[in-house]
Parts: sequence; C-alpha cells; structure tokens
Amino acid sequence: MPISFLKMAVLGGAALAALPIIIHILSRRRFRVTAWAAMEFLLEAVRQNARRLMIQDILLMLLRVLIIVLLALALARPVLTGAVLGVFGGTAEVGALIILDDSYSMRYRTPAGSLFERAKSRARDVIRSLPPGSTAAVVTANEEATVQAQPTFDLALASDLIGELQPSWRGSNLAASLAAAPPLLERMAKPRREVFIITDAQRRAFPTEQAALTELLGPMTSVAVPYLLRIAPGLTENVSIDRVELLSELPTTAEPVEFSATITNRGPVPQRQVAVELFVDGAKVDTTEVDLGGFAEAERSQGAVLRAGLQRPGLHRVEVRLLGDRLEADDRRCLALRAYDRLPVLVVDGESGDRLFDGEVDYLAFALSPVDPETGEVVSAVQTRVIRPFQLPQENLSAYGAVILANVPALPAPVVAALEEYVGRGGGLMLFLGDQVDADAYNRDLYRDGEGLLPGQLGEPFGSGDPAAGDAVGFSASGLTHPILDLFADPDSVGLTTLQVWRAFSLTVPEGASGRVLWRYTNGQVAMAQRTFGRGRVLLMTTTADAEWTNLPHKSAFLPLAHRSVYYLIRSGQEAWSLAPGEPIVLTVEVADLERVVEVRSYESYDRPGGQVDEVKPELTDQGPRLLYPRTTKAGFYQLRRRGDAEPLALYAVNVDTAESDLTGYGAVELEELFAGFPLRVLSEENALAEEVRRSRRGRELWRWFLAAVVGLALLETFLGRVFAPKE
Amino acid sequence: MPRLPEYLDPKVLAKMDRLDLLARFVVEGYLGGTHRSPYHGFAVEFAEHREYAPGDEIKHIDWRVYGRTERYYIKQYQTETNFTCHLLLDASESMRYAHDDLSKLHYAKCMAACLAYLILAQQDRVAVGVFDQALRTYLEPSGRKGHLGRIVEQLDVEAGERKTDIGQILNQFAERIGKRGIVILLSDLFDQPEHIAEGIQHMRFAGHEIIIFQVLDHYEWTFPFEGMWRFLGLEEYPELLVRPRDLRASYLQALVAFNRSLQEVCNRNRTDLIPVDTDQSLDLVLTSYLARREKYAGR
Repeated sequence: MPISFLKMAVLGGAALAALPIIIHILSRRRFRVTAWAAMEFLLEAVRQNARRLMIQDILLMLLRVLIIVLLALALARPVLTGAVLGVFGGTAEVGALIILDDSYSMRYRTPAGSLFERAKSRARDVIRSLPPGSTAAVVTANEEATVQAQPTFDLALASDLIGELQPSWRGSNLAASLAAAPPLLERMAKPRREVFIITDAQRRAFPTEQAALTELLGPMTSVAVPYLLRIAPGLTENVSIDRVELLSELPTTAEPVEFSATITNRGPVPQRQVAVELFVDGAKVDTTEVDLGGFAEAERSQGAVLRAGLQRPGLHRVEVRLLGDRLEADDRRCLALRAYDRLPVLVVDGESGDRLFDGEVDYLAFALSPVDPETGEVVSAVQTRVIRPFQLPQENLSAYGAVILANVPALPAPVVAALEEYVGRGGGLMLFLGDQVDADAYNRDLYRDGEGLLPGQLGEPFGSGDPAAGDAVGFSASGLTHPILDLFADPDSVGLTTLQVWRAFSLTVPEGASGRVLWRYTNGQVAMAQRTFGRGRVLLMTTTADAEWTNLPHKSAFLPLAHRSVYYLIRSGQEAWSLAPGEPIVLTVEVADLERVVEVRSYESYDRPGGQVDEVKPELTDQGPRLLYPRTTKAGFYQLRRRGDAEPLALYAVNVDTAESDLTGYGAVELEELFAGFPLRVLSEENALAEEVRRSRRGRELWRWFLAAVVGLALLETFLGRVFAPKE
Repeated sequence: MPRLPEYLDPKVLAKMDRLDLLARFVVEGYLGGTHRSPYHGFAVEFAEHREYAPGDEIKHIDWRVYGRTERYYIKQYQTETNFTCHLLLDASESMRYAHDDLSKLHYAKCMAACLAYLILAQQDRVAVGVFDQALRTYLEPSGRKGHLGRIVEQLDVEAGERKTDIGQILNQFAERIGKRGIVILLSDLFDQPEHIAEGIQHMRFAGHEIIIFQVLDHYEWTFPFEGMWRFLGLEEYPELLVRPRDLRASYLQALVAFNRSLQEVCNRNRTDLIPVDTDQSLDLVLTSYLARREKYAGR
C-alpha cells in the first residue's frame, strides 16, 4: 500500500510530538520546595497512588503524542495510491494543468477544423475526464505563458473558458509554459496531479538538448504525471511572406514607390505562380506572381517587387498579401509608411556665420533643400529648419524625420536625454564635428563608455587644418557597400579622388560594440561611423559640415551623401513603426496632448478592419509625455489619431514572426524518442484519452481518516483527563 | 501598638514575643469573666444543698431531692484548691512547620501561656514540661505570684531536631506526678497512635485527667498545594517530589484515619482531644473548648 504525501514539508511538524514529553520533563524541573512535617500521611498517599498515577501519566502522554503525530500526518495530506480495494479504494481527485499551445501555427486549417479548435476540443475532453472534486488550471503557451484559468473546482467554467480562447499571433516556446507549471501545480494539492501539453509539436517549440529538457521537465515530473497530446496537422502546405521592405530611398508623392516582398514556400510541395498582391490603404494597387516551384532550398524563397503611387503625403497602410493557404496568419505582411511631399529635418548650427556659406550648415541646408535657380522653389522633399544650439530644448524632436548637429558644443544633460529618447524611439541623428566640439564632453555625455549615442570614442583631431600644408588626406575607396556610400564604389562617377580632408577628429570604434565604421580616410582614420541606438540610428562624420576642414561641401559628392544619409536615417524611423505581436506602442507626444484623447483603431487586415477602437489618454512619465498602448496582440495595423483630428498621429504595423511558419513537427515516434528519459506519455488524437488516463487514477486521500482519529483521540484524552483528575 | 483583638490574629501571634503579656491580654481582656478554668467540673467537690431562689440556674436543681421532698434544692459545689495542672509542650522537629510565619510550636506556646495565666488566676498550681524524644526541661508546679514569668521563660525554646515520643513522655509523667492532677498536652501528635494510647492509659491509670490539644498547621489539615512540590521531610523522613493535587484525597484520608484512631483511644480513656488549626484565632480555640467543658461540667 504505497502512501505518499501531498504536503511533504508539513511532515516535519510531527517532530512537535516531542512537545508533551518535553513539557512533562520541564514541569518536573519546575517545582517549589517546602519542609514538611506530616510526612507519614504523604508517604502513605504516595504508596497508595504511585503506580496508578504513573500509568495515567504515561497513558495521557501517549495520547497527546499520538494526537500531534496524527495531526501532522493529516496536514501532510497522505494519499494511498495503487490498486487498493476495500474502504480505501476509489478514484483519486486530480489537479489537472492544461497547457494549450496557442501559437499562430495552431491556426492551421484542416478538414477537421483548425489545429487550435481541435486542441480546444481535446482540452475539454481532459476536463470531462476529471473525477469529481478535481481542480483544473489552463495556461496558453506562445512565446510567453499566460494563465487563462487559475486552479478552480468549477470544471464547467474552465471548459467554457477554453471554448472562448482564440489562438494568438505569436510564435511558440513551450519552455516558457513548462517553467510556469510548478507554481500552479503546487497550488493544486490533490492526490494526483497531471499536466496535459496540447500542441502541434513543432520542432522549434522544444529544446532538443537533453540537459535543457531535464531542466524544464524535471521540476514538473517530480510532482505531476505529464501527458503530451499531439494535434497533428497532417500534410503541411504553407507559403509565407517573410519580409516587406521599401525599395525607394524616400517615399514621396512625386513618383511611384517600390516595395520588395520575400515569399517562402514552407511546405514540401512546390508552389507555382503564387499571386502576390499589394494593397495601400485597403485598395489593391499592384499584383505579381512568384514561382516557388523547385525543391532546392534557394528556389523555395523568392523576392517580388511591387509598385504603388502614393497620392497624398502622410501615413499609409501598405500590405502585401498572398492568396490564402491553410495558414493565413503569415499570408499577409504590413508596413506602416509615411509618404512625404516635405520631409522636415532639423539642422542645428553650432557656428553660424555672417555671410552666406560662412555658417556651419549653409552648405548642408542648401544641399538638402536645393532651390531651382530659375523658379526659386525648393526642388527637394527635404525641408530643413536651421536653429542654434540654445534653441534645442524648446524643439519637439519627434516632429522631425532626422536631426543633424553640426559643430555643436557640449550639450546640457536634458538635451542629451531628449536626443537619446528621440533616437531610441526610431529617430535619426547625424553629427558633424568641428572646432567647437569638446571631445571630452562628447565622450562623457554622448559616448558614455559605449552606452550613449556616439558609435565610438573621440580622440585628438589630426591634420593641420590648413589645406595648403600638404597633409590633407582623401577618402578610402574600399569596402563601400553601405546603402549611403555604394555610389562611391565607382570612384570616377562622383569624383571621390578629388575629396580632401585636412583636419578631423580621430575616432575609436570598439570591436564587437554596436558601433560600425562605414568609411575611412586614406590614412586609415575613421571618416564615417554608425550605430544603432534603440530603434533609431546615429551617423557620425569626423570632419566638418562646412568647408573649414574639408573640401567635401564644394564637391558634387556632397549632395547625394547628404540626401542618402538623411534617407537612411528616415528609414530607421519607419522601421520603428513595425512591432511584434504584444509589443507595446510607446509614442512621444506633445505636452498639449496630455489633455486629449487618442483613438487607437486596429485593422486586422485590409478587408477585415476589425472595427475595434480603443481610447487612450497620454500620460506624463519620467521621460516626458507618452502615449502607451499595450494591446497590440493581433497582427495588423494600429492607427493612432487624436480625437477630432483629420490626420492620424501615428501608424504601426504588427507582423508575425515567420519562424513559426515552418510547420515541421515531431511525429509520435520521434516524440517518444525525444522524451525517452522522462515519465511523459505521448498521446495522439486517436488514443481514447479517458481510458488511457483513468486507469492510472486509482488512489484516495486519507487526511479525513487521520483527522477523525485526531478528534477521537482528543475526546478520549479529555475524557480520561477528567476521569483521572483528583476528586475534590 | 496593636489593639487587643489584633493580638488574637494568628499573623500577629507569630510576632508576639511577650507571652506573659499576651496571656494577660487574652485571658483578662478577652476571656475574662466569661469562663472558668478548664478543669472546672472535674476539680470540684459537693458542698451542700440550699433552697432554690429565683435567678438560680435550673440545671443545678437536684431532682432526686425533689422526688423525695417535692421541694426545689440547688446542689452547691466548691472548687478544690491547690490542684496542679501540668502543661506538656511538644518541641520536636515536626512542630517547626509553618506554611507562613506562625509555626505550630509558637502557636502551642501561646496557648500554653494563656492556659497557665488562666489557671494561676484561679490560685491553682501550674507545672510546665517541654519535650521531644525525651523531657527537655521541666518547671516544678507553683501557684505563686510571679510564677507566670518563669513559665514564660520555660516556654522560650526552639524546636529541636529530634523526633517526638509522646507515649514515652506520658509514661514518664504518669510516674513522676504524685498527686492527682490535670495534664494538658500540646502537640501535633505525630507519633504511633498505639504509643500515644499506651501513654494515655498509663496517665489515666494513675488518676490524672488528660486534655490533648492537637495543634496542626492549616496546610497540614487541608493539603492545598498546587503544581509540583518537593517536600523535605522533617524528623528524618526522605525528600519527595510529587504533584500534591493527585495525592490530596489519599493524604486527607490517611490523616482522617489517624485522627479517628486517636479519637477512639481518647474516647476509651475519657480524654478530651481538641484538634487545633493554626489559622484559627487563639481565643476562639480556647473559648469554644472552655464552653464545651462548662457545658460538660454543668450536666
């Protein structure tokens, strides 16, 4: 008759059984003393009673010890398991934890319904199979574990709750859910605890190393019996859109914008003439086809180029879509895009001059926003606003696509913090240096030992600063693959060899850090470096933006360099509008917005707008006024608009991680092999769950019996205590 | 200075050194005029008859004479003079016991002083003996003025470390006292009942009257201890660690059995046995006993 205990730790309480003995011994040590004359009568009394008193004492003490031992045993919840007959027989109450894989691969449609519907049906089978008095808890498992139902006796409620569950848009990671299991199991103190993992058993969901499996399953299998219920998708056909990118340097209303989409065949069967469609703001604007016909790995993934003319400036919902297959979650991909007719760029002039082209940024501003000499109109979408450094604290940086600092002296801490916030949220920052720059202050405030905005640490300037001194250096022509610089790869096309720099700061970009050298001078010193900071990018030129240290502003190369740099920075901002499911929206807003309600409209896809509108009020956080919106659980678009405004405030695209699109799963035999070292039963859908599981649910809790014995003994002790008590 | 009634409180008695003063206070101030000596009724002889007159007590009418003469005559008695009372005080180790400040010995000494004063006041003679296993001191009988002072000096003893042997002492005294007298024994009587019986019989055979005051502490009468106690036995008894509550009934039973056997011995020998609790006030003990004797004598 194997007996186990549900609350093993409480067993230690049995040690308290020594208490009556200790009290007895202590009471004999604590006595008072008196001389006594009438000893003859006392001795006579002792002679008459000693034996009786000793037997009474021992009897009462034994009863008290037994009461404490039995109480400790009752509280430790003893369970009789195994096939025991007689009064102890019966079906054990079960604490069942259901871990339901709700990653988006479970949306895969099959003739018998989606994998998730099948999994829910299986989960309800589990609930139905539970003996009366059992408890159940439900956890959904995607990249994170979410407790959908805390341990409850209300099994009907748990079953209804399972019925209402919807699959998520996230990938799967059963490790996270298994790690969440032990605390829940701990709360389900039942003679038998069971864990049901219901999943399509994608390979990517399980760790394959035995050590990792042991770490995950070990704590669970020590307290519960685990079952894995495999929901097999059968033949998996799936084509996914892995990426959608903007090909054009700057999306403007002036000319068509190009997008590239990467389409991958995830299934074993070749897919030919797969139609790829482009939608902008819900309207189909372009269509093409890709052929994923081959079996070779290289032929399974193809790019498609699609075009759209954007009629108006502002935010646009761009969506690439395939004709639906069995897993629609990865058949569309969203891109939030801002089209420009004017691109605001903030240029901070660190050393303004009195005459044209004397100022630090005159060349730069002119290059970014050139004026047609005949019409006098700005012919670029880039609209520069030039300010002095002291005006920086008053600027709302989020209104600009990029910020350029040229030869700006040391910045006060609030401005540095605002810049970090701006870049961290996806803004673009470009820095030119010069004689106003204090390298120590830059390193202290902006480099911060690699934690700040700068891609490297500034050193001493090199070069005489005199173009006539003969120590000028040129720009290196090697390794120019970066999108900003690839046009310099042909040295003759933009006159790279004519460029000269006679003074610049040396810059050390540490290996392995997030900084990256893009361009070097011919003497090997760094000319241009970049780093990714948060969601944004920072570009650093080690020389001046004007002609004081270099002849670059005088050369034709300066114009494409300035434009490409700005577009590159802008693009980082647009990429910041792409989120993973569940990743919260954090938007910097104006102080005035604190009083306004912002509507968040979610578009699940172009043809199913969802219609859900949430209202959010921006909050004042430590970092300033922010709009926080955490409910981005669904893939699709989220448009933010101040109530009453015509124009949206921001647009975010939420896309699935297509690693989940590879539906390759473990077969039943492979799972048996994977879990060979663990007491985990793998059940397929064909197994009759109830019979499989019920057979092993024999057992009964004994605490009631022990408690009854405690009460009985306590009554007996009271009764005997009264009987033994001296009569007055 | 405490007022008289307060002297009779056992707690005050315990601190009272001047036994002569105490005796005077108690007898004159408290008992005075209401009682006669404890041996009244024994130590009297018939004198004559006289005719009944209003105011006489009816109980003194001689009904036999009335039967013969049909007239009421009163029996007149006369107290015998020069009677000797022997006060025997037990000062064995067991008399040392006190649950508070007042030991049995001290209480017995106070009683002895009071009785001595009372007897001397009626011009009778008093002798005092202090004993434990043997007679420790003895003061010859006298009825003179100033004898009380010597008695008090005689009573000024501490409890010894020896056991008591009452039978032996009574035997010795029975032979020692020549003339018939009254022996008043003040003791806890912690001795074998058969030894005590032997002594009493010897006394009675010699024609002496015996009055026994059995002086026990209130705790010895009631055994009210709670919790665990270690009892250090006096008079060569061993130590004992017990929970008294468990033994109370048996203890009291043993005490009652002992006293019953004593009482039987005393009844057989026409001896007064007066149990005394040291928590009782002294005057109450004496008053109630003297009242009893008077009633007995008047019958």
